[in-house]
Amino acid sequence: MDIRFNGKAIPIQEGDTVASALYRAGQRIFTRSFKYHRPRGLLCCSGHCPNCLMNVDGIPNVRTCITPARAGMAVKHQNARPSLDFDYLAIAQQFDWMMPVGWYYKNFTNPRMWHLAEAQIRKVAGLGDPPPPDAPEAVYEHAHMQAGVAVIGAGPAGLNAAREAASQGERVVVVDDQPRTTPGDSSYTLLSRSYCFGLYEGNLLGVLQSEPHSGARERLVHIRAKRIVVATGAYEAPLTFKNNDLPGIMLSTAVWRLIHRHGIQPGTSAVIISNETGDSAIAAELRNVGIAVVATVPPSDVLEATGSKHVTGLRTRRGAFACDLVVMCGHRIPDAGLLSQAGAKLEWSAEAGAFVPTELPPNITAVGDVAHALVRAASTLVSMPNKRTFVCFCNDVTSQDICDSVAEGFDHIELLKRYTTTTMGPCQGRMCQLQAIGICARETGRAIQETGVTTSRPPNPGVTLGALGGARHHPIRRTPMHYQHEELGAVWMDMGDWKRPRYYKSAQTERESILREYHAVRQAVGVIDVSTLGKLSLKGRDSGKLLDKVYTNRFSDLKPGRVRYAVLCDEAGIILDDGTISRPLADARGYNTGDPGGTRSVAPSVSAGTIDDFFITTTTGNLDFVEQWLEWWLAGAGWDVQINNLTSALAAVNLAGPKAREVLSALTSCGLSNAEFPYMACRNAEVAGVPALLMRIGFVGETGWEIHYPAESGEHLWSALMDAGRPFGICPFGVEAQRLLRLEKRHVIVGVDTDALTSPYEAGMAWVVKHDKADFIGKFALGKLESAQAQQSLVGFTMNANQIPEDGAAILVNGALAGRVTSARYSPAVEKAIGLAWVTAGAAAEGAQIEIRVAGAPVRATVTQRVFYDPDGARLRM
Amino acid sequence: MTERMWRPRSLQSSYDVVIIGAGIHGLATAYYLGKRHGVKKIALLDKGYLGSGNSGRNTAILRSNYRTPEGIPFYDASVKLYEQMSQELGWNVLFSQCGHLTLAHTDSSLIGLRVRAENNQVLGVDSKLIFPDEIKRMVPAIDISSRARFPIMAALYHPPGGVIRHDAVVWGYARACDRMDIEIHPYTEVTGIRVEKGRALCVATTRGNVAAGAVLNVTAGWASTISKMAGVPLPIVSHQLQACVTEPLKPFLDKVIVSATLHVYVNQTDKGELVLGAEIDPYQSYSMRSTLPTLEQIAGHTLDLFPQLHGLRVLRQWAGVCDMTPDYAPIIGRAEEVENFYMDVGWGTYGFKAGPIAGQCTAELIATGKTPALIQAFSPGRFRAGRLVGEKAAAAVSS
Amino acid sequence: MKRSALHRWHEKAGATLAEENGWYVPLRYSNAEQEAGAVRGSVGICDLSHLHEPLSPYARFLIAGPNTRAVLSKLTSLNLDLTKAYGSVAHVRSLVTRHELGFLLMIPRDYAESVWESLLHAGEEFHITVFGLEASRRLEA
Ligand SMILES: Cc1cc2nc3c(=O)[nH]c(=O)nc-3n(C[C@H](O)[C@H](O)[C@H](O)COP(=O)(O)OP(=O)(O)OC[C@H]3O[C@@H](n4cnc5c(N)ncnc54)[C@H](O)[C@@H]3O)c2cc1C
Ligand code: FES
Repeated sequence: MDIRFNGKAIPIQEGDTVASALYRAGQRIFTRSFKYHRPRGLLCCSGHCPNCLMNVDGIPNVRTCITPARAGMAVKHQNARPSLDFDYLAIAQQFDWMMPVGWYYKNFTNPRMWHLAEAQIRKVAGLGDPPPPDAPEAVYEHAHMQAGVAVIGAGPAGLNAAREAASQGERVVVVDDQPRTTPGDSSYTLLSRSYCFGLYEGNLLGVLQSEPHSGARERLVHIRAKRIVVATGAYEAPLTFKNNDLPGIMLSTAVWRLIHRHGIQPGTSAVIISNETGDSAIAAELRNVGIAVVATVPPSDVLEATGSKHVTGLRTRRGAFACDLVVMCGHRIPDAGLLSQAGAKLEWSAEAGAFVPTELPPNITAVGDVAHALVRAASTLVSMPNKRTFVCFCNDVTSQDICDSVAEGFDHIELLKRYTTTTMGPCQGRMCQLQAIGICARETGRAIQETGVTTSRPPNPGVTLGALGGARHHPIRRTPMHYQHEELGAVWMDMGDWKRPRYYKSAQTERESILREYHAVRQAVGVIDVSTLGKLSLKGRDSGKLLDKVYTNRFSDLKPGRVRYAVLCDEAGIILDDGTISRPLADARGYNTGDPGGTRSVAPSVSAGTIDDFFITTTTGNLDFVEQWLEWWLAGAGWDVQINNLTSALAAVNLAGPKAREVLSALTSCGLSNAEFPYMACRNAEVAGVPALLMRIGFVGETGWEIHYPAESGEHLWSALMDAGRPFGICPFGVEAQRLLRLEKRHVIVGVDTDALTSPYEAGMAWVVKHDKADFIGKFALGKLESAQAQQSLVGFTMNANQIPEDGAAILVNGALAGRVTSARYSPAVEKAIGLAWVTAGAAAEGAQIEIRVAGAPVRATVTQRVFYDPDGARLRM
Repeated sequence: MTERMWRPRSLQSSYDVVIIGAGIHGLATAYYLGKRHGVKKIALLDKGYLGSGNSGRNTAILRSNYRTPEGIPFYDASVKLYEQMSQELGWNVLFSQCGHLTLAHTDSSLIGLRVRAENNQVLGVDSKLIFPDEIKRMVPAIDISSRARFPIMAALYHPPGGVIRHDAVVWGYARACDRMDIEIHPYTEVTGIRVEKGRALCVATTRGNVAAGAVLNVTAGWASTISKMAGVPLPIVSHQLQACVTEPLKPFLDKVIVSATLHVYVNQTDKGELVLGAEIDPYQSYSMRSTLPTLEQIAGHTLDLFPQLHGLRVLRQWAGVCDMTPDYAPIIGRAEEVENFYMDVGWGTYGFKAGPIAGQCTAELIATGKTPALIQAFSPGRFRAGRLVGEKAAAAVSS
Repeated sequence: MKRSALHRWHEKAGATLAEENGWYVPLRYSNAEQEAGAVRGSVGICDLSHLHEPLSPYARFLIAGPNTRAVLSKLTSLNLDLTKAYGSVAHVRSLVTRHELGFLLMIPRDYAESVWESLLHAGEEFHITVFGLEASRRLEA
């Protein structure tokens, strides 16, 4: 059983972490430091410090000291070239005088110099190598839990709290980062190898679980708890003295773990730095495994460590001691990050030598070391300025740097943090925050309490993007006829979550395919799936009232059996959405009857409905908004209206073209003649045996019907139309052909031709605003806009020559910016490119000459307000 | 002997100009008042430490590829001031003009980008549309494949865009102000403004009252609370905006990447960390407590662009309070109701890049009483007159 | 004949389809007894969209078996102790109600396939099975 380290086989044992296996195999340097590339070795063995980060199986910056070793793992060092033992960039230490704190702010003030310098800095910056773009993906997932009590930390205090809560009948979840197994009395649920990284609003805990099962790398568990018990204990942080970062200088917890968890003897002769007088517990541990304890010295007596790539001794006021292991009994710091995220205050306790949490928010308690800080100060926090006394291991910030910064005026802990970058490294300040505060307090002459801590921010510890992102299934919305489109060769486009056929690939090129669809509609018959339209039904006595209030035109007077175009504006008179509103026919009693002649079918929108019913369509993207908008204006009005969202319940198609009537008549007994079913009428009828609501409307400019019918019959009716249409050359058409067809009719698409500032007046749709209505949303603003001089107008244009501008092209008048093209296409009817454009008021006159940028060069075009195809609408009424 | 960046001062009883808020907008205004107009008796008051507002929380993306004829020259002028800033202040603000890419994943955003490219080109700002192959060449780490739910269709490439070290800008201005004896007073919260006969006379603070010749409100997320003190209504609502930063990786991404469809932006600092930002949270809030769902969205969308980064850890997440106006354009000018009360607010999610030029224009307005042409479109009166600025489409993606 | 939003999925998965009340319904994918056993032993999902009120915007899935909650809790933050809850399931706003065999999911029809796939993915660790009406009848018996 091996892992591979830089290609070399390293044996592993049961219970090994990657770091313990490497240490046993003799590895002492695990990383090179961020700025000076100093050698660094194991320090905390608890996943708290930055000293053991390596690349494991292609993933950079992995904490090897808490990563279980598994046979076959590929481990590589990072941030050292060519090797950890010999790193060219270690030369940086010799130039530290060039790089005092904030050196980059004070140099390269010439932009060109900075440009050059930055390129060099970027060559050496960073830690791990980014995985290549084709690196394998991994499985991550989310999960959610509800708990009565969540306990963070399964130490004695946490487990006590858990048992107690469980005995009171609470549902208890315990979270712990160690690999533990639930003891016999599983009165609580244990998430082991899981750490809590954030405590968010509403008692939401973010918990990261490693390898929840063999198929997933990590799982992010969201726990909502009524009560939270924080039992995270305390962790140990290093002491500051010269060369305190040499490999071989370890925290006592690290030494303990190497010995007890991994059966490793971490050195041969050790010096212990501890405030405890007499024989400390750790000394006994060391002797037990055969390590000679050379001396125990208090922190205040330590002068410096010696050695270059590994510690060789410790110089103290009590003399110099040779050793290959220095054990720091460091500061014990209550792990109170979660509490302070939740809003607890951290207060300095001189006797504990620690910041302890106070003023806990309701439903959050703290137990054990994190709360009581029965911990004892390891040492005074004072360390003298020195360029080799490391405060922040992650970012190579020394005590000298901190003192210098304070002297420069960065004397608030938040400023100090940002200027020196202390606490901003991968360990998130665990190893350095307290020391930095101590030095800041001394240098400013303020008390530690007054100096304060920096804001604790989640996630802490850090969380992978993968775990945060979760399974990452982007939902896809498919219409009922999705797979029929696919069989017909649809080329898809995304509209929100929807997939819609952009066109059907029926010819060599996209352009030819679209033209084929276009000509089918103009000359024979075409059918398009419009199921993505928003569909709402309104029932109740006051439906007409609500529509009059919310839409700019009038609907209360809409005759049964009729359809009307509808525009919706906000209070500022800006167009928000458009669509159609139909009022199905009703019988003498006021009930909907279905088709005028018969009693056979009851159409979907109006089943068991009455004369008060309306059926609204909205644009694809705005359904949710329109539904909420209607609900919003209905709320509190006391009106009798029920709004029902039928979007997913109904499929819809638009059948259009000179042969549309013939195709449809093969499938329905509903009278389709102009007399029976005039333009802008609606009827309920069966089509191919399916109850449907038919509207005779004409977005694309040909005789046609929009048919709404139950989604479960989506494929059936589509097939029936295709079959019935085959003799007439029916052709399914997609969004692109539809856009071209409607452009020739100069129909506006809200959101394409309008934007967040468009009013109906500027869009040339003054007729949709009915000012004689009592009140409606936007009335006041629209009243003002009606009389105001429009600053810009939506106009049509025809290119003078053969170029085709792109959507979005700029419009120039006398060389100055004067507008933009919203839609432009080659029009087979006009035999030139045509389009819609916003132009400044001065350029909006009929026949005005404008210039449109095509491939960057201005090209002439003529403004027109006329409809490009069938201006009288004769074809709609054929 | 180390030189102090700025000196602690005692609060005096009266100033020519009292600036409320020592973020970039307050500092820049003070700097230009001192430097160009010789106004020196200025106090900058801030309730927190220097840069504790959004000026120390933003993702520091600078660009001028806006959409409207009002916005483009304004932001362009700001980027140009940034280009000279290190030299002018004698302090490196680490402006990295690495280039900025706004991605389009849908037809409609592609058209929106084309409008910007076109308008930028006409008005002399360097920006153009590029397509997936070129995007991939520029940013080899990005996923342009069609396996993405919303594949990348195009990008607006804006070479002068980039990122800056926001704190360095704040500190650089503060130092320059201090050198001109402009006073900076951190931990001095404004609690009230006394207005009589249409003039602001005196500003009440937690450290005492100060009389003021002119008062400037540059408090971003708190803009409406301050203006309420002076009895000046503002059409501003506050929303939270969040961002986060990851562990450092060796530099592999030297462009700023923004995606409107995915509501995310990504850049890699000179230290190697990725800075990731989001869209504003949908509901109004003054909270600075960050949230998990937003972090999850940022992460998920970052992985849509860079799937290989799944193992990279996020280290810190934070939030700022953004002052949003109805048309996504700022409000700069003198209050109609109070003759010596000025404002430079409504900077929402995009105001860091505008700091220098807004400061320069606001200083000119305060010192001369004349509104510079560059900020005329942003006047407080435009809402009443119904002359909104159409920047929503270009500014909507924060930054 | 009426088709559920998963009709094509069932076909592709080799389901034996039959007619019931004018709908195509999946009777079984392989063997009803095995399907029922797999559900009893772990977890399975079944398309019940044909039990449908007229004009319903929803597809209906039944998720059943001892690991039902474990699967669902990977896709939703809804409190599954409630008898009825409305909220996001696999990023889609849905209605979740208790059912004697597990939970009934009402998913907007156009998102049905997307959520179905998410359920299968989330259930992989439990070897989730799809089951037809025959198995569901056995389970109910
Ligand atoms: C996460 C995030 C990302 C962003 N990204 C970008 C970006 O990439 N590019 C960009 O251009 N912009 C960005 N922005 C926006 C940008 O940060 C702000 O628009 C800009 O910093 C505003 O500067 P300011 O000086 O107006 O306000 P601030 O820097 O917020 O300063 C206002 C100051 O007023 C003080 N104050 C408030 N109330 C009082 C009081 N009563 N008394 C005294 N002082 C008071 C505050 O303490 C604060 O320091 C982002 C914002 C956020 C939050
Ligand atoms: S030691 Fe890790 S951030 Fe300072």
